[in-house]
This record gives sequence, C-alpha cells and structure tokens, in this order.
Amino acid sequence: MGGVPVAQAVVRYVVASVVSTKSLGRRTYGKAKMRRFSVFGGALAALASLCLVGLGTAQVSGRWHWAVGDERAIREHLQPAAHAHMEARELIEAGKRLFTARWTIQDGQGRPLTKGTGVPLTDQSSPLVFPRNFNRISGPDTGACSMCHNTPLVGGGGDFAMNVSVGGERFDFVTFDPTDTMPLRGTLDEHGKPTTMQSVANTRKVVGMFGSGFIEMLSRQMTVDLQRIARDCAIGATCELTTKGVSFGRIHHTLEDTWDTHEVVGLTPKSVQTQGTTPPSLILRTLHQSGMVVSLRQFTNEAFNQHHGIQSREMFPGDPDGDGVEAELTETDVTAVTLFQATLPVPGRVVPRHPAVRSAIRRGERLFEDVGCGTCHVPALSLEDRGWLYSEPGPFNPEGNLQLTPDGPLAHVDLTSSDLPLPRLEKRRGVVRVPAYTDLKLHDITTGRPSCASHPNLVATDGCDGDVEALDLGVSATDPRFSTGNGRFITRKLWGIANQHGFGHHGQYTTLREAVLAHYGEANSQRLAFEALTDDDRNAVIEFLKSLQILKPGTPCQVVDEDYQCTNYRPRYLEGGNY
Amino acid sequence: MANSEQDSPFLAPAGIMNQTRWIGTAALLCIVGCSQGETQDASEDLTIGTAGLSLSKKLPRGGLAPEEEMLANVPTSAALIGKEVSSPTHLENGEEFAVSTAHLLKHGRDLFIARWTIQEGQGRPFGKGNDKDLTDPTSPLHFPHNFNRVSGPASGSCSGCHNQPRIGGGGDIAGSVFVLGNRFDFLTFDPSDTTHIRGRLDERGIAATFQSASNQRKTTGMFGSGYIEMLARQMTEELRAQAAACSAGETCRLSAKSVAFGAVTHRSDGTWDTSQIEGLPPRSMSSIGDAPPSLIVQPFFQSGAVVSLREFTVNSYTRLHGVQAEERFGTGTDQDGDGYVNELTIADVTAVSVFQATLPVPGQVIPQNRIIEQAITRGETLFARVGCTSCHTPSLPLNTSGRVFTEPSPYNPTNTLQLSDVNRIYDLDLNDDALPQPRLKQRGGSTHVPAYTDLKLHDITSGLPSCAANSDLEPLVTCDPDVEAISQHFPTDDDRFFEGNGLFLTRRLWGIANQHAFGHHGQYTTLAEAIGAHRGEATGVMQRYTRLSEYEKGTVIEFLKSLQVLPTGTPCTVVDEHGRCRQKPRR
Repeated sequence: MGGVPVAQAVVRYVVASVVSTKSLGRRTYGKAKMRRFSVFGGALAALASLCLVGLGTAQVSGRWHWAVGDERAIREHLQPAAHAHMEARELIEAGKRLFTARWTIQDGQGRPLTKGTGVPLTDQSSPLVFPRNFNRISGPDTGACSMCHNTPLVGGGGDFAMNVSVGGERFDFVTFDPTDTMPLRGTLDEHGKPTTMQSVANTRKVVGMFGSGFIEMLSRQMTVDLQRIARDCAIGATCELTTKGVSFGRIHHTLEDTWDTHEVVGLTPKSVQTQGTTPPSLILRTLHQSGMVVSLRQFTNEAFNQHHGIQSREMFPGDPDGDGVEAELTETDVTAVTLFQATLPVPGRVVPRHPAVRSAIRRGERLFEDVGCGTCHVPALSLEDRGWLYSEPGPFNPEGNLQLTPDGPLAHVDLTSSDLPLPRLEKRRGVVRVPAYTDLKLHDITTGRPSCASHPNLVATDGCDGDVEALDLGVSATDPRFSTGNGRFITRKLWGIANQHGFGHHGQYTTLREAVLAHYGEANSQRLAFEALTDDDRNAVIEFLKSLQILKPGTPCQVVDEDYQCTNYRPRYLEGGNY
Repeated sequence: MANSEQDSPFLAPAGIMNQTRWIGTAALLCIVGCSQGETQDASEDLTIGTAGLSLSKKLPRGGLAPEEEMLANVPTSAALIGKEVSSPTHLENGEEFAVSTAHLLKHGRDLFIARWTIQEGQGRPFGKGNDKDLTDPTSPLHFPHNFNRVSGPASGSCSGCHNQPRIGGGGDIAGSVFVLGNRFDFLTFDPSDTTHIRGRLDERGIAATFQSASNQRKTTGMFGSGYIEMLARQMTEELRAQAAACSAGETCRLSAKSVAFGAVTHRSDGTWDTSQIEGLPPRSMSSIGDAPPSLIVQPFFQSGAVVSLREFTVNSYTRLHGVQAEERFGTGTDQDGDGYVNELTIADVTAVSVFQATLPVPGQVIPQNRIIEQAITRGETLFARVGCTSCHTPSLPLNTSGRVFTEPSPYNPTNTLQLSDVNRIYDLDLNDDALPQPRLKQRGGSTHVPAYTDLKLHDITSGLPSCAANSDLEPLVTCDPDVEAISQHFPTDDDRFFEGNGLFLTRRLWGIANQHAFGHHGQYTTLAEAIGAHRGEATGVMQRYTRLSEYEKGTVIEFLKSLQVLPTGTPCTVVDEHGRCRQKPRR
C-alpha cells in the first residue's frame, strides 16, 4: 500500500450529477418545482458537491436534500461514467448508504405488479398499492436492508422479529382469507390447498453479512476446483470431488459420456443437474441458509426486489413492477452495495481474561473438535492463489445478474487490506485462513420425521420435526419433494454466532445449547458424543461458542478480552493442523 | 508497481471492463447535467486503460458511522461458564434506591437490549400474551411453537425492534407489532382449527385473516418519553381537579395545559354524563355510580391504550418475550409454567422504565444551506398557518414539579405497580445535565416539551369501515385502509371491539423523520402520503394544506424532515447537517 500514485486513484465509478437520471418528482412535484430549479440554478453546482459531502456524514444529514420537499432516500445513483471520480472508500460508503436507505415510493419502492419472486402478480387486478403495499409474509416487508441486518451492527444478523418468510414471496399478498379461491394469490398454494402461517413459507432468521466477501471467494474457488475435477474426469472414470479438504462425494463419467451424479453430496439439486453430455455446474451456492444463492450480487438483486420492491436495472430492465420508476438501481449501485457487504469486517473472538473462563474456552475449542463438530464446522478453510482479491461481477452469476465478460471483472478489492473496515484477515505465506467454521456443504441433521410446520397434528405426540421446514424451495413446485419439506442446510458458519441472533435456521433456539442438542441425522454421533461429555466439558464447549462474536468496529485484531483489548489467546486454527 | 498493485485493495482489472457498454448506458442516462466534457472524461478513461482505485484515506476508526453502538451483549464470567443468560444480575427490590443513577440506567439499558433465553424465563408455555392462561393448555408454547410473529412471543429483546436510529428508538415495518394478536394462543390460520381464540377463530367463531387477527402497528420510539409521561400525568391531574370542582347539576369545561377535552356534566343525581368528553380513551371516560370518570390521559401505544412507561414495559415483556414481572404475576408465581418465577423484580422494572424515561429528546436538524433553511422556516410557519398545530401542538409546558419523573405513576392500573404498593418513591430530575444528552431546559418556570402533540385521541379517518376487517370492500372507495380491524379501546365482548379503530393519539412529531416510516401502520413511506391521509377531524386543515403551492407543500415536508432524533451526546437540540449546534434561523 502507499505506492499507488494518486493519479491512479481514478475510476469509472461516478456519482451522477444531482439533477441526473430520475425525472424529478414526477409524483409530487409539478411545474413549480422545475421553476425553482431555474431560480436557484446558479447554486446548483455548489449544492451538488455540498450534498455529496453531507451525505457521507451519516445519521444527521442522511435525510436532507437540497430539493425542497423531496423524500427520496437516494438521490444520486451511481453511473458508470467518469464524470467525477470516486475512491474505493467512497464507493463502499455509497454502498452503505444504499444498504441503509429507507426506500420511499419516490425512489420506486414497492412493486405494484410484481411478486417477490420477480414474476408478474397472479391477480393483476389487485395491485400491491396501499394498503397492500406491505405484507409481513409475502413482502414488501421492510424499509431498508439495515432494518433487519442490524445486530450487533449494520450488516449483521437480526432478531426473530425480523425473520424472513422464505417462499412467502410466491404469493401476491398473503391473507389466509378462506374465501380466496385463486392459487398463489393470498391463501391457496400451487396445488389449491389452503396454507397456514406455518406452511406458507419457511421462517428463517436474518443471518449476518460480516466476512461474506471471504465466504464468497472460498465458494468461487471451490466451485472452480470441482468444475476442473469434473472436466478432467475421463470417460468411464469415477472422480473424487474434493476441494480444500472438503469432500463433495464422487462423480462418475459414464462410458456413454453422460454423468452419474447420485454420489455427489452437499450441493443443491440445481448444481447437480445434468443433461446429455454436459457435466453438472457443481456451483456452490453459499448464500441463504439452504444454499440457494450463488453470490452477494444475486442475493442483493433478489432481496431488493423481494423485500423493498426496488428493482435493479440488470435484473428488471424497464418497469416491470409498474410503479412508474425505471432503473431503480444501476449496475454500479448494485456493485457498490455488494462491495459494502463483501468488505464488512470479519467476526472474531471475545476471550475474557479470567483464567477459569479462558481455560474453559481453550478446552471447549479442543473438545469441539474431539467430539467431531469440526467435521462439518471446519474451523478454517484456506484461500489461495490470490483468492482474497474479491472481484465484481463474479464468474458464476445466474442470468439476470451482471455477468463476467471475457474482458474480466469491473473491480477488484483486496479483502486483506488494512484500509478496509477492521478487523480483517491477513495473508500469511500466500494463504488466507478463513475461520468461519463451515465446510460450505449442505447437510441434513434432522431426524427424518416430517415437518411440524406442515403437520401440526403431530406436534403433540412428538411425531414431527420442528427443524424440518415446510417447503423444499430447491426443487420446482411440481416436484413432490417441494411439499415434503426441507431439512438440508449449509453448515452454519459459526464465526460471529454468539451476538447476532437466536439460533437454528429459524432463530427459535434462544441458546446455543438447544441448537447443539438439535443435531440429529448426519450429526447424530456428534450429538451423542457431546451428550457423553461431563457437565464441565459441555459447558466448556458452549463457552467456546459464546466467544465467537462480531467485534466492535475498528478492532485491530481478531481476539480481544472483555474490554475489547487485543489479547494473546491463539485460536487453534492458527496452530497448524490439517483442517 | 506489481507489489503495490497487489497491496492495493482495489486493483485495476487486467483488461479493464466492457467499457463500451457502460459508457453507452451512461450517455443515454445523462439527461440533465451531463455536459460534453463528461463524455470526454469517459473516453479518456477508456484510453487510459487500467485505472486503479485506492483507499487514499483510511476509514474512520469505529467504522463508517462513528456512532454505531453494539446491539447485543453476551454476558460471561467464571460463574457463567456454559450458561446462556442475557441478564445474569437482577436488582433486588429496594436496591434501586441504593445504586447510583448511572448504575440504574445501565441496568435498565442492559434489560432493554437483553436477548432473553429459556435459561432465565423467556417464553410462556402456558400463558397468552394478554396475561391469561392458554385456551388450549394441551398445546403449550414449547418449541416449535415457542415463537409466533403475530401472537407472540415475537422478539428476542426490546431493542430487537426499538433500534432506529438507535437503541430506544422506533423501528422498521419488519419489526411491526401485531397488537391484540396475543388474544390467540398460537396463530396458525389452520382451517381445521375449531377452537375459539386458539389459532384461527376469533371470539365470535369467525375465521380471522392475516389482516383482521390483529392491528399491525409500527414500532414507535421512546426518545423523550419521560417528558411525555409527565405531561400526561399533569394533564390528568388538571382534568381531575376540574371534575372534582364540578358541582352536581353543572356542566364543566375540561381543559389541560390549554388543550380542550370537551366537557363533563355532573348530574343533579350525582352521576356523570361523559358523552361530551373529547380526546380521552373510553376507559378514562367510563363512570359508574357517583364516581367521576378517571380522566386519565394515556400517552402510550398509538391508540392511547397505556398509562405509563411502566405499564407498557410490563405488558411488552409478557407479550413479546414471555418474561413475566413479579409485580403483575405475583412473587413466587409461575403463571406461564416455564419453571421460572420473579423473572423481573420491581426494581428491574423501575430500572428499565427509568432508562426509557431518561432517553434523550429528539431535536431538529437544520442544514447550513440557505435554500433548506428558508424552506424549513417557511414550512414551520405554514404548518401553523394551515392549522396542523391545532392538534400537533408545537409544545406543552411542564411546570417545575413535572420535570421530576417518579416511579410508580399515581395512575397505574391495578396490574402494574401502584403508589399504594410502595413505601418509597423513586424520583429523578429529567432536566439533569448528567443524563443522556440532548435534554430540555427549564425556562421561566416551565420546561417546554416540543413534541408536536396535544396527547388527545382523534379520528382522522374517513368514517368508512376497516379494509383489514372487510376484505370484500374496496380500499379508499368502500373501506378505509387507515381504520384498524379491531379496537383496543373496548373489551372483546363489547360489539365495538369488532367495529374497528380509527382513534389515535395525535402523532408526536419530534423525531418523526429518522425513526420509522409513517402512519400508525408504518406503511406510508413518505411524510407526503401521511399528510395526504388526514381526513375526518382533520378535513378542514387538509383542505387548507391542499391549497398551498407545490413549493409551499415542499417546505412543510422539509420542516417535518428536520424533526429528528439527534446523535448521542449532542449538547443542544438544534444542529446542522454535521451535528454541530446552531441557532434556529429567524423567521
């Protein structure tokens, strides 16, 4: 750092002139407003720069704009032209503004004619305008990204109250009104069956985005590895799909040049699908707890539509939601908010000075591995080959998201740079160890019993599993598995687990201990091993988990004591070993 | 160069980007404000080829927003190894008088941000959120029925919802509260459920819908709420004195702090005719026999359903967290059957009530910018001129004794700690400089509380029935979307319960702009929409507002946008866009 000439700090990211793309106030301002522009025309330029500076100063000024009466959350959309140059810092700050913007109808908030899935409403005659402009299950259901992603800080996880109803967005506007007879409007599902509050959607806690740039780069590298293994797998051969020490089973390249994928494990069905001689995509989808989403960018584009009715131009060209506003987010806006998330600090550890607590954490960390938790909650995965250079757009974005072209990515950011928000990871000898405690694989740790959400009659007799979701959204609605439910989730990232939200994919476990004891299925033996520990040892494991926390902004190290002073406790993942 | 590139967080991509497409788009979009020169710049950038980004300035320590505070804590100590509780210490009753104010406030704050766990009494397996026993005790609210977004428990902590722009504030619509949803054990909307107020059927046996089962309300902020409670208490005192002085056979005007509350008639037979009282909740107007109506101004909950911060606190802990206060459920009593008693002591509830009461007051943000200053000033004048201030009273005065906040309130209902239950009152001066800033100051014997409310209930709806309760009606044509499905003002066996509610306290406007969206439901994303929804009692004012020019309407919006919760520790109540204290511009 430091060697970059200032002249090079120019960019293609631009804050559009204040009076740029949106036709000002076509809802609320008439000719009077335009007249004022000419009256104050001379002051425009000065005001424009003042406004940009002001917007960077957070809370106080975040809501004022020089245009009198304007209630847009974001007045300056980022344009891909070089009119005024932005530094990376400014781009990330712009991303944060988009992440914290409480969108209004003047910004294009709302999607009168579009479902949260992005398809047109089932019943176009009942558009989602007030009082149907918000719906806590089918959405839009929130004002800003940061309204739910706020614990313990902006970008983090969220309370149970903020849970997202995944799959609720299939409906226009959920009512549970028994008189509704139109499937996927308010009550009836795809098959014409009435839904309940528990079966209409999968309720999931809001998970945090801290460290997510590293996670995305891990999954990109792992995808590249798996794809290479498949590509190099000779006809007739069976090849081990192992990347970064994590096994995704095996793939068989048949003598007919087709692909037998039934031994592939840990990937979502979409990534394992194969047709003819085309190998499966083998893409790791590490966002959404059930592993549905490829990249931060895809997550961002979809969430803006589902939760806010803010439609990005790259995913929703034109005005499909019929709210009268086009290009509610530019490509550069989406890049900025994606980079903001990707460059959030990484979680760390809080290890109090008290010797008894410290030694419990130390012992718990070892026991965690001894009982086998580390088999799936792999303490750390390694980013190699400059994988810490996060780039946008990513190489595996599905259609509807900005694609990587042969010309290469539009921007790189070095996730290890100490100029980004701290704490962050460092590279050592060409490797960045990412202590997220996950293998990024899907596992089923449920009992095998049916979902309580769709079989409430079995709750009383313990004949159902409260951890199995009502819907399997990884397959199409016509697939019988769709309503059999879902018990497969990506191994929970444990970094930052203790201070972001409740536990379990639903956030309904108020303690880590409940979550640990809910491990069945693939994790049955680990739970049994945990239960077989002494009281003290079980407490130690919990104490270790409690130490995994998001740290205060700017903390210059990853392990601190209870007063947030850097401390010399050394996590096991840094002590070598073969993770 | 290679090295520095590697170390730069933003690196020039090897072959730069697909510039043509991007620049093409940009040119297309630059309708206004893009000069020839800018296009020139763009093409220069193209010819330069690789352009790197650098972080020439470090991010401020503490992240992008220096003010960010942590919204969670994970208590631990040698005694807590392996234990998962959010509030390891509780105050013993009486300790509230022994500890320092700072200690009490910290404890109150800890309880406000505590994410409660089952190891300390979170959850109410056998209790409804309305304090009653479950209708169907054979289906206790254990996992997976331990949380329910509508009937509750619905949240981990107070601050899980009250967090905009900071802890104690309002909240997003995602964190809206479903008022009265807690009449149900566990809402399912399951068509096979045939038991009343269990999961689907209401008290009448009619199937509730997602919209009619409860009233969805935004989370409102607690900033300045100590002053609000004290205003309400003083107003109550005034009204009660007027009633007490009203001889039999007389009709007496009721007014408090110059706010008119109609009139009450003391009949010659000693009974009371309360039909001319205005702006009070029905429960404060009811009168039995010779007893005068209570005339209590209830300033909390948007429908004015709650007397004090303390009542609000005890209600919310039960409804939203299943954490039961001993003052309501009894010492040593485990009404909710979770195996824990005394989940909150009287001293705990005092601490969390006082924490809320002493939160800073909202203020005003007036940018150092002539156009905006002028707009705000003009907007404030017009706000008064068109008559908004007839209900949104700019400020109400607290006399000297009123600035001393006391616990418990003399008007608490029987299910909350009452004066008669205690032999010592907790008191504290709300104007004390040592409390979190900004705060109000006394001037000329009074502390003026600029909350922009008259603390009265008004109906500004159209008079049409509720859309939420009548899904067959057409919004804004045959039904009113601002009328709630059910009424918090009446018991469920009163017919008026199911007639819906259009009565709300005049919205306090201090801090309106940066805590949440607008309308009692939070479904108006702009202030302009909320203003446009003023009907009923506000019709005349609305007509005058509508006649303003577009610019003038804009200035009113600009004035409202200036009413904000200020950064922590701001030593004054008027600041510029950088948070620096400033003078209010002269009118």
